[in-house]
Amino acid sequence: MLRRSVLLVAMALCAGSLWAPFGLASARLSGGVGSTQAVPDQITAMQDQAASLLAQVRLAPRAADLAQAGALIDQLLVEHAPRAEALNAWRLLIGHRFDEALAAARRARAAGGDPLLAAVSEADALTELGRYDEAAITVQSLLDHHYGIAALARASHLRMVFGDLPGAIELAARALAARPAGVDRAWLQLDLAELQLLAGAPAAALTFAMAAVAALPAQALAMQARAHAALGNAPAALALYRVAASHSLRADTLLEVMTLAAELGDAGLAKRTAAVLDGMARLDAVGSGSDRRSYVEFYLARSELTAAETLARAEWCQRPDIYSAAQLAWVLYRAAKTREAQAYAAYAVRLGTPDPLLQRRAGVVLAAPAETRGNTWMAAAPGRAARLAASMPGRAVRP
Amino acid sequence: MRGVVTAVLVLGPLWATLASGHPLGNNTVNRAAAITVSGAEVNIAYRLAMAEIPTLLAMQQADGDGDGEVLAAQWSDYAEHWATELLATLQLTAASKPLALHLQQTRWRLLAGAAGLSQLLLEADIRAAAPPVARATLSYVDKSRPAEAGWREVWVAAEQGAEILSTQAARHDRSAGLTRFPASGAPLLNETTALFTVAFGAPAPARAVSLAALPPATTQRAPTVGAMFLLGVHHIATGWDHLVFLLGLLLLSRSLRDLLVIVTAFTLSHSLTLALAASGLVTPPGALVEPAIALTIAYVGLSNLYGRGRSHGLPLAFGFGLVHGFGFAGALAETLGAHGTAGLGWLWGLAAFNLGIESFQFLLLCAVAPLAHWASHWSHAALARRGAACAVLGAGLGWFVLRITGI
Repeated sequence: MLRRSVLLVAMALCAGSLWAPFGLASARLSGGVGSTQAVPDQITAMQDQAASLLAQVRLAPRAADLAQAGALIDQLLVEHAPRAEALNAWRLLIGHRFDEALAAARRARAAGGDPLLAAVSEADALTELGRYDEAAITVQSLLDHHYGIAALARASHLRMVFGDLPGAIELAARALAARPAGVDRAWLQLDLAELQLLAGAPAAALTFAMAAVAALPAQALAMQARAHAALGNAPAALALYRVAASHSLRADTLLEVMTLAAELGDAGLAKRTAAVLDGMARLDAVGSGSDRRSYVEFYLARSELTAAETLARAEWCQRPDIYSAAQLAWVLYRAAKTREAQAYAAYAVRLGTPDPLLQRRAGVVLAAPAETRGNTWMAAAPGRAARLAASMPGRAVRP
Repeated sequence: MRGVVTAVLVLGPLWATLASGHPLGNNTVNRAAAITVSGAEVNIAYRLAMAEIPTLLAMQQADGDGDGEVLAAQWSDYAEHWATELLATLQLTAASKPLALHLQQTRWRLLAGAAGLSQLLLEADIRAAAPPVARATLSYVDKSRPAEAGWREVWVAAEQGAEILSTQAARHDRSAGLTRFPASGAPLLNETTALFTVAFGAPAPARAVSLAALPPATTQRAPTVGAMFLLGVHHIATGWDHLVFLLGLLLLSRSLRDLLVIVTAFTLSHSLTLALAASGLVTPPGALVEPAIALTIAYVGLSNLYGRGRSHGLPLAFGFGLVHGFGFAGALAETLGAHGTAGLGWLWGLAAFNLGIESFQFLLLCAVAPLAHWASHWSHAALARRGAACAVLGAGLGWFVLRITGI
């Protein structure tokens, strides 16, 4: 089944179907939207306010904003407002309820109230659910009917997932060339920075990240830190991560602060950051679990394998994409459950996604011998496993 | 990559912390200022409530010695520091002339938050002398912590000897002292200023308001004596290293009298260090205490194996008890410190915790000592004793390796 999916997507990519219809699609961009003219002004205003709040949440996550948007959307759903389901899908995506988001997006597409938002929601939900072949079809539809930077950004990401990094960079650059403004431009610059990092060009990544600082300071500073770390300048990376954390207290940023501080011998900072992360992890566990991946890494770093495995399995259930699979594989491997780990690792690398961490971890897991009493003991020794991971070369393994 | 790409344009799932906890979000810092004017003074009752994550960060700042625990005295220092900084960022003017603000009192409390975390509540009572005029327009501006998201509320009221003639500021509390917020979906208040005209020397009008009059927040109850007793029982019952050490002591004793003397010495010594460590008078590094406890277990095992410990069982139990007391202190200090327990409450807590430990120890020995006595008549008693001693030694060495290597 998986092989069949890969083949179908590969055929679609080889045929250039993500590329071909740009010209036709752009000509059709203005059609399809505008059915809200028939509804009362109040509904329109509520829809706009809900969309505005959700966009605000994207920039500065505040529970109050999300709650306010949720209340508006609930009311819009009762009123059968045209954009209600599309906004609902967006809200559900923010809450990491991807299955429900997909259903809402499909209802929204059927209703036709906000076709662009509905299609983008569907594509994102499918991507998060690891249903990449279906996501490719939806993104193709986005390109055909709503050609623009939203469609290009998603096409770029899928290209990367399917192993075509140069193609992904070209699509993202094409989106940036369309000169989006403000935050949208900054997001694209960060996308390109990420892709350049994956391509092994940290200097180029740094340039893109620096360009995004004004609009998205926390994210751009963290990306700059990653680039510095890739360039081998750990002290600069740590300093930038700390500034990024002062802008926005994100789990992934704090995790890097903790790791780098420990590496650079600042045990006090590492300990203090770990204490904050520990509290945030407990909050995340009783909340939406939206930062679960970061906390899996946190527990791994502390060799708390049971906690890491619990979270990694929960993440896999909620978001069964290749990244969750790779992370779960690594956790299981560290927990000396090699056979099960290898199944997830094989799933994670089946598309040839050029992500060094994903490839390296999956490579180690797949190269490990079958479970014996001896290697079970070895794999369970965290220090030994970590050294092994660091010393193994990156390796892409296809089933 | 996923986080960035999917957030591009139109929509995107965001990898933000939106966990449950504080009703306004667990990363909010909420504040309310109740300004009361009387004929003689202007009183600002200022309350700042931190949700769970800002409280975690505050703990880092309050923990001056970096030992990972914040004692009541450290929280008090933190609150004083906060109030001093607050005073510098508040402006109160009458007819455009600044009024000198004086800090009267500062308080702090830790409230129960989500996921077993705390929420910090800080309160400051600030006063200024009323301007020597019959009528004045007062302006209040709060410039503190502008970057922090949360509820910001300012309201004004008059009491004896003053009357508010006009104001655009609110006249009543809308969050019940930051304890109740509007239903989910309502926008947050963002009030940092108040402008109001006051007639001084006017007859008594509105109700009096002060910080104390604000509805009390739901305080996290300090642990009761019973809870501390149970904590002590739980700590020893789940502390396998202490239990194995006790087994080692049991093996060392040749008679019931011996056992009683040795266990009493152990109890006295660990009570002593427990009190010293829990009070903060002595702060041994945890990184040393835990491996040291493991070594005491190994030594007791070794002493049993070679029969050499019996001659010095008493000093051995007393000396090693001192080390084990530091181990017990960790759980106690964490509980008492987290609740800001001090004074007599602290003493009761310490006593109850220790009593819990001793009670469980006593019950355990009552159960095990007769068994040991009965087993001593076996034909293979010596072999069994050596086997048990080996197990104690092995456990001690194993713990030592685990604790040294951090595995």
